[in-house]
Amino acid sequence: MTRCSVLVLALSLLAAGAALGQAPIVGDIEGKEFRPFPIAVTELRLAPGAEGHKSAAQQLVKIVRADLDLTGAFKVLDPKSFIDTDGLTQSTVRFPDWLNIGAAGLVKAQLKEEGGKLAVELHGFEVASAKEGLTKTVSGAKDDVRGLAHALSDEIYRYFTGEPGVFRTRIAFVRKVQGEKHVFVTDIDGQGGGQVTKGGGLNLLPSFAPDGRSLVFTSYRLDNPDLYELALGDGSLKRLSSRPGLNTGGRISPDGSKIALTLSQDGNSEIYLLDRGGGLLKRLTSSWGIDTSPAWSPDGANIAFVSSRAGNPQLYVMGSSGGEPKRVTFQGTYNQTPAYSPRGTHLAFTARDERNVFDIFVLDLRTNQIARVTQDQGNNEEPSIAPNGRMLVFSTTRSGARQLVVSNLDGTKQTVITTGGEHSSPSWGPFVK
Amino acid sequence: MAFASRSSGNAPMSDINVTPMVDVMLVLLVIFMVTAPLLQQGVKVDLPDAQAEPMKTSTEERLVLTLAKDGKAYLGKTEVPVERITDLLSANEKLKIDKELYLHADQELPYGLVVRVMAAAKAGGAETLAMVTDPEAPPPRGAIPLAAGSGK
Repeated sequence: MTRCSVLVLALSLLAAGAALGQAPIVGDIEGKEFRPFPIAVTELRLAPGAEGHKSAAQQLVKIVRADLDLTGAFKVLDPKSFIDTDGLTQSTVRFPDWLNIGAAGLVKAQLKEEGGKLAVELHGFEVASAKEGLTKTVSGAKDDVRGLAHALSDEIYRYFTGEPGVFRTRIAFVRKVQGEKHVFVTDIDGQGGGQVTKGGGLNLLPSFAPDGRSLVFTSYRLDNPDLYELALGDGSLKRLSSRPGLNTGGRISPDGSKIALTLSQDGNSEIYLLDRGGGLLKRLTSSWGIDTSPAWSPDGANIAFVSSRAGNPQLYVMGSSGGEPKRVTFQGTYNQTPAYSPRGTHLAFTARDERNVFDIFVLDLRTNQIARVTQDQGNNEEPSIAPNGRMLVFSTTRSGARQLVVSNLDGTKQTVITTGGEHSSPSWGPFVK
Repeated sequence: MAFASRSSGNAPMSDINVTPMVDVMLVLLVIFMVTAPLLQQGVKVDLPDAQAEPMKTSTEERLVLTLAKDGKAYLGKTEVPVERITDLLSANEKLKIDKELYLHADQELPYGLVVRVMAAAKAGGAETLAMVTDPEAPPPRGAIPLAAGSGK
């Protein structure tokens, strides 16, 4: 549970990071040796004909800076220190000016209007080697400045880290609204989006379908915790499972064909497999204890879940067609809410420590090493990992009412993305196709 | 309770109060830090006119702020508006890391401007403000002009 094991975790997560060799950020973007990459993101210049879009330009830069800051991989430099009287391209940028403010990376851009759309001509530079490695024009609708900003952030993140960014992915969560609980969807910075469920009193435990177009969640709209699927496009609702007792914690398999969930129809909470329409395929667990919170491995071969069969809640992994589960957590007496990393090598989960505080931990399934993400910041629960494996979202009580935090994997950069109200059960959605 | 009168409240304090000594040592430390760079070699100070190139110092590694006689300011080799110096320095990340600023100021500059630069450098996290000086320059004669640009 030391910082050391965080480093081990960070290094091992990088196993498939082949493209990183060419990226300006050499090595890993986490761990104790890592210093956030100092980057200067300048104000957008306005091309002739786009002078009317000054407020959009300001908003774009503000969102891009906040996005990059959120990752913990970058140190976004204070624009007050920029001289920024030079040009936009490799031959006209005065690199010593940027060295003088401590920048290692530099992003310059120009906003144009093209065919009724906003187009941003993006230039990314490595300051020390005076190299322009990113030159790209990204365009978006005038009424979707946030979407365009996140697309720019993705380009910048990919250029400097060599990995895909998650700025256009979304996070689903539950928020208390006037005594009811509803499912909301938001951008990863906590802005945009809104409530997606209507009525039904309690709507709980949302989880994205692998294509990101729908959510499964549990709702009490017929006075029983039943499983529903909500299409995000047209808002249509479909009841998938309304068996007696619990129908909770539904998770759609990575190939989209099955749903794992907890049912208590046989008297005790067990994990079952349904087809996508809700028909019962198989009962996967059979123990005297409570079995709940299934989570699919990214290849669909395994399911991690929580079971109290050994006397207290611990994490287990079983094949996704059933079979003998293997216990994977042995420390502590209360481990729950597992979530797989996108490469399937790690499980993020909630554990109650010896002081009865809940915190987020990450387990390396190959070495059984556990790394701690949060400490001394209230209760932190229900982690969900971003599809690029670099960030987590979880709920926290650090500032009183329960809020959502986006964090990097080692917990060195944590940002509370919600305000007011009560937020819980975050689920990080897939990459947008 | 019978022993309450023997509480330490009335006992003489036998420890040496080290606080003033620490204060003095810290002040001495700061003075040495500031003067040490001054003792290094001088660089030519007399700044050129507006058209000429600023001095060739190694701007790649050092953060050099040049204040020319004509009232212009340069960060590295790039001219910056004098009124932005406070912002430029107080937010400067390199200054936060290196903690030193090389001030290359003409001897005829108004004192107020130099003080303002020093305050900004301090706000930016500088622990050392190195005055780049020319030991061979003749001492200024007569009164120092108080307004920028009035030197000629």
